Amino acid sequence: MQVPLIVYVVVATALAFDFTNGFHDTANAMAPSIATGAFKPKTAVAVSALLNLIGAFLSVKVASTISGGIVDESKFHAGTGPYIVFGALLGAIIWNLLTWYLGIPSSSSHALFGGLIGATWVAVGGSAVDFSVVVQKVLLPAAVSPIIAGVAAATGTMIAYRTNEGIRKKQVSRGFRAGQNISASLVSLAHGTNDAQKTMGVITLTFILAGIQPAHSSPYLWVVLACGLAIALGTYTGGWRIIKTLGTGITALDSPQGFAAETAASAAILASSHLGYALSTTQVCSGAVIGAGLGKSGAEVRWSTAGRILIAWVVTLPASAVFGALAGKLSSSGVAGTFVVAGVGIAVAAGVFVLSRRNPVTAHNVTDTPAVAPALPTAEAAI
Amino acid sequence: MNIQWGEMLQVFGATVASTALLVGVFSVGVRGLGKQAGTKKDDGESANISDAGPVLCFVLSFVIVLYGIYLIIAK
Repeated sequence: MQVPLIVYVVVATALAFDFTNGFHDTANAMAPSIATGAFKPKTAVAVSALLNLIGAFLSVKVASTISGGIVDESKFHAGTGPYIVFGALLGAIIWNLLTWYLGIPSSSSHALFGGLIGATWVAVGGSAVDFSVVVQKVLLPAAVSPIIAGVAAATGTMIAYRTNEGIRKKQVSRGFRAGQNISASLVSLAHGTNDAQKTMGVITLTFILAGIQPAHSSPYLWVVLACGLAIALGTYTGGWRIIKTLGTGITALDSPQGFAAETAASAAILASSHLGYALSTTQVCSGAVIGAGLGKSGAEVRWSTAGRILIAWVVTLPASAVFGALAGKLSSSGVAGTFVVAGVGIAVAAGVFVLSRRNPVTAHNVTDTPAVAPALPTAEAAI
Repeated sequence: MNIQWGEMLQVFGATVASTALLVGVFSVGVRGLGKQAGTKKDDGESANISDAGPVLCFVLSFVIVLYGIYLIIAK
């Protein structure tokens, strides 16, 4: 059987998306731990990468739908489906790279959904997009997630400080840093089981559309392995720019706050996946950090940074929808179109990378407090 | 449009309650350790009694974490 070129392109692009997903989301689990010194930066990303890889294998219950009903995938067919998926992935990758450059923790799932909506709209029509599902499953959870996690983290932070009033700070910091190692690892594991699956779903859906594997079949083992490795590699590469924003940009975190934030984040993720109300991981983790800042008396939350993040969240869906629509439309025009789109994607990636070299954020300077910020006590000073 | 207010509230309650529980138990453990470190010169007897407290707290925290891992795997 002749496998169309677009299928190879989709597999490669899906793995590239998975990689950006990994490095975009390392911050969610590990930023508080790196900021408080619970984990050394390199150790943090290594642990997180390993747990993401394990997570990819833990849960192989791949959803039969990649969008959860946002777009009607039954209207995809072999001629259009792979191009829609390609457009969606490319839109999501471009958005992920741009937000990474700006150091903004935005949701990779929202970027993928946005790309899917845009690409589906131009290829199949607006009727294939269910906007009530978009509101229910994307917009509302995105608005609620940071509030839930924020309240939990603020509560946790208050409890942690109240309980340890009058105890030597050094002892308290050490205890909570140990706890942070566990709570951050839990977030990483939960992340791996969720996010690597998304890419497996994308590849499997494409194979089904192309007639390579039967409908409702589970992903091939090599697909599971490749997706697990791609997200782990992305995680290990460490999106230091986003880690910096989440770890030190919003508020200066101490280890009791870091522990409360990471515990709140894992509790929110686990509760939501178990009680059937999907929260979004990125929004949960950012909300938890803000909550931890609010819960400590005298701590300062930089609302300008939080505001920038909020704007990016609002823009994510429409922006990646536009990218997805353009990429999907152009790539479906033929082999030349597909190559042009792939070329543009690679050029954007290279451009963002070159730009990022001008003010690199690495494992070595990730915990430096922002230059514009007033001199706050850093984690080092608190030890 | 069916907005799942009930589920949303449940998730909210469960998140806040479980965070408060785990952070609370762990904090009491950290406090116990900190107190011990501060009162090492006290009589052996009282130190022995307070030894069990933090350990119990950390064991309980660990059980809560194990339940979390179970939830991730069982999904």
